[in-house]
Amino acid sequence: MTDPRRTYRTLLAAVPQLIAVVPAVVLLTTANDRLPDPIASHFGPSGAADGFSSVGASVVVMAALGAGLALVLGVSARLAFTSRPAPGSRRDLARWFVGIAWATAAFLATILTGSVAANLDLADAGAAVLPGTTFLLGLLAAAVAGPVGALLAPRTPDAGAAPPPVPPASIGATEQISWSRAVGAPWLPIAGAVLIGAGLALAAAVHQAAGVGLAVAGIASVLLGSARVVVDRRGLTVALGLLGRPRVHVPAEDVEAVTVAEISPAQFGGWGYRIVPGGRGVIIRSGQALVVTRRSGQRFTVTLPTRPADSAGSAGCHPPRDDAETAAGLLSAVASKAR
Amino acid sequence: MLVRVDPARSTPLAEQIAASVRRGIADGTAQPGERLPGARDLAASLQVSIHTVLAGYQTLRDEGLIELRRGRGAVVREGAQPGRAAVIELARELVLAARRIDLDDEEILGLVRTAANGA
Repeated sequence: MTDPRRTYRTLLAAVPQLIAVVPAVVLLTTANDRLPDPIASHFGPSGAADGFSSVGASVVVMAALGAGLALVLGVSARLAFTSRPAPGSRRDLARWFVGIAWATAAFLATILTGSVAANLDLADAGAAVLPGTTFLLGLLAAAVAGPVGALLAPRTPDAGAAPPPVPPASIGATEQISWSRAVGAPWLPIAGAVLIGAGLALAAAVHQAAGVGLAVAGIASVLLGSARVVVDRRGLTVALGLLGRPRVHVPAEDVEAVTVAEISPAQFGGWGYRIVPGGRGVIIRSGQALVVTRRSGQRFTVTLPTRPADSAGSAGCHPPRDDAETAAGLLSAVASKAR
Repeated sequence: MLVRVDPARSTPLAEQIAASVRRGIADGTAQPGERLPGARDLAASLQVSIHTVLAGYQTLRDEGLIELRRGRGAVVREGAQPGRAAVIELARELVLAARRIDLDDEEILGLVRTAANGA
């Protein structure tokens, strides 16, 4: 938990947001005699002022904006990227995230400073105009700051590298094996039920069409919140949802190597069937996952439930087994048989 | 949970399936409340008849290790103790080993009774 790289990354994402509001706040507090009060604080699409607030309120709003963004981006940078990047992905998403935080800060600083500067030396704030170039300048600043931030961010260890392949388990010449495991996130059906309920309420209260999207998302998360992972002579099959459809199949002859890795949904940008550069995945929970490299070099990742340590038989005649390792060894054996 | 069957072995296939599930319950890879693979799916996966899988599941139900419910399939019973599954599996293995050397059922029971008295 006390990885210095993580702390560094958190600060790199958070601090620029605080710095971003400093020029505008300094301008507001030091150039008091050159500013009207209230000042123009919001500008329409044409650049003409259409919202006004007092200098004091503007300072508070900007400080709160900086602090809020710093908190959200800092916490995200800390919590979201706990381990390695997605297996097969050459992109270090944690560094990208810091880059995006820097770009946000640069854009914010330009726009806020520009909007205060637009009020300088005006008697009436209604005459304030935010030049269109401010927006372009903001984008330019973001384009410069983003890559700088990404380059400054610490490299995630072993980015893109995968753990060594699991050696094949032994399967007899006439023996058939079938390894299977149900994977479920207990909160997904609950979240789905809440979504369906919210959708129905929205449909009743606001408009029939309004609730449909939510209800559909709810039904999808109930139906697809679980999966059954099967390894047998045919290869790897992941049957999604309560109905076992749709299913993802990696034929045994298409399996190049099999590994076990610790993954988190953030590496795949969330839960469900995910497509990331270099591979795909069925991501239902964080923790242990089976990572299959196909002959094409593409990787397929499926998360497996982690067993509590005390779940092994109390009779002690069978040692506790690492389930994911078992599956990886079997798939590897089946693949070498099929070749 | 891993199911292994080998048609070349003398043990019936249904019993091999039941033994695999018992070991799964014993080592914690099949936990109470967990759904076992559907009979049709498991049969296709192992290239055996669906009746073979169902026969294996019925043995497990008779032993009190799983529940079979129409529509819900086979579920490991909430009260299924890993230790109990392990002991049932050991008993099966004892019987099979004894039959291999042509002991009859009375002799096997006699052996167990003697062992219980001595322990």
